Amino acid sequence: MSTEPGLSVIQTDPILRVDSVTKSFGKKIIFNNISFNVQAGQVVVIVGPSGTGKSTFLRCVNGLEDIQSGRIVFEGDIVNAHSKNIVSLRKRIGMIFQNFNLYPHLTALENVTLAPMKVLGESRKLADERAMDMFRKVRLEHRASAYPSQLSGGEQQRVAIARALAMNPSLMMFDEPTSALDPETVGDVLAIMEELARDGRTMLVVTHEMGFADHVGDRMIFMDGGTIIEDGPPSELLKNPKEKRTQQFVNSVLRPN
Amino acid sequence: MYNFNLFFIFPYLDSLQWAIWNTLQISVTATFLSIIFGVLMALVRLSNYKYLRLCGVFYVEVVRNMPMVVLLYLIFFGLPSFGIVLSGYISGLTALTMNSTAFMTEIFRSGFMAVSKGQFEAARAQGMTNTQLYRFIILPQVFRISYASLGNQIIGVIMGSSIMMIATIEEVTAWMFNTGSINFRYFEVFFVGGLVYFVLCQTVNLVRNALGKIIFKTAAAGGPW
Repeated sequence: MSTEPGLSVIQTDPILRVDSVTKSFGKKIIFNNISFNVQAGQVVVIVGPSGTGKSTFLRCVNGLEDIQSGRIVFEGDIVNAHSKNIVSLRKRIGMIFQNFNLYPHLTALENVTLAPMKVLGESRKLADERAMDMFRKVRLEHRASAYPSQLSGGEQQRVAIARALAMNPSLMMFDEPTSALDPETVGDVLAIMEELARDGRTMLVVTHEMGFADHVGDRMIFMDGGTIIEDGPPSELLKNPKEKRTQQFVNSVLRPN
Repeated sequence: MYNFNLFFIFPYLDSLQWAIWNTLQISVTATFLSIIFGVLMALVRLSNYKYLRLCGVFYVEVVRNMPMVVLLYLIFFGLPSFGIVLSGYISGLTALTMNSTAFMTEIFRSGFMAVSKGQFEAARAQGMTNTQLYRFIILPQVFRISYASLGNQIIGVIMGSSIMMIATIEEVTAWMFNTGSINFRYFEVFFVGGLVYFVLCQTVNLVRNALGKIIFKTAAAGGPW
């Protein structure tokens, strides 16, 4: 985010550039010819029915999956899942998973400090201090010494957010962060994500939470059948979708049954 | 009536001490070696390369489906025909380690498979190298998962050490046969030998349990982890 309000309208180099990317597993095409840019400070929400490659797309951005054609450029570096520099690139991209994926053999605090110490080379003292800052941010400072199995789903996901934040990434990706949570705790996690957005974090969020998408998202991308059907401001997509397929989707998620 | 009398064993307690030491030495060494080789072979069996994987399958299936006696005979009596002469101890240790490695491989393979894919992804997504990923995230979980089955296999190694007398190693079973052939009190001798094996295995088990509580603090913390 630029400090002067007037400058924010000027288009700078996008932090993430996606150029006609195609992903397939064998003969099965997951998504085809996807292109879009993400500017620093933007919150981009990707929505769409299950099985349209939204999650797979996120995994391509940090090279957990390779791509078959096209180009993904993150902060000027080409993402190549098979190259050595993918490790240094991943340090700058935080990822939150649907199933939290906390390290079960480590305490919440150790979950957060491990990568800063081993990957970024921070001292234990600094890592601990910064971790506690992160725990305050996700309002879990009282649970730092608990093991993941002792935490509720919502708490686990908040630790996962703290763990990603501790690396101070320039892009945060959320892969259906609330899908595995019980309805009561969904709000806690969404509230923290909203705060991150307000802090000016660049975020790429795959979600089914339309309220959050409308409220927090700067941009909404509707994906279906492996392609981007529509891309624009969330209010626009939700109220006046241009494409027929978007209309159907919006109708079905906003007016269930 | 057979006159059961443990008094006949007393003159041989000194040699029994040595026999226990020899049994322990070869069992502990084979256990440690087979844990290391087992982890490596488990990785081979889970490798992305088909032929490497097949080598792992071949090793495990051949060794696991062959009595250790056969393996020991092949190494101790067979290899010299090809000009490879190994000492009794090295032959025994090799057979015991090779056999145990096959089982350890399967134990650790299931351990690796029980670690969820998400753990690999979370660690990679944080920018960990493969070495860091395995050292800090995967292996600690694999050992935690495999720890109970490890106990079975350690006992298996101690049991397996009882045929090492074939390779002239003076372990507890060798002591039983030697002592029996001198004093002809086979019943007492085998009774004491059996007792020794029982106590050895139970001790190993208790030590393993206690160690586990120290190593895996999380179990003490009450969770399934």
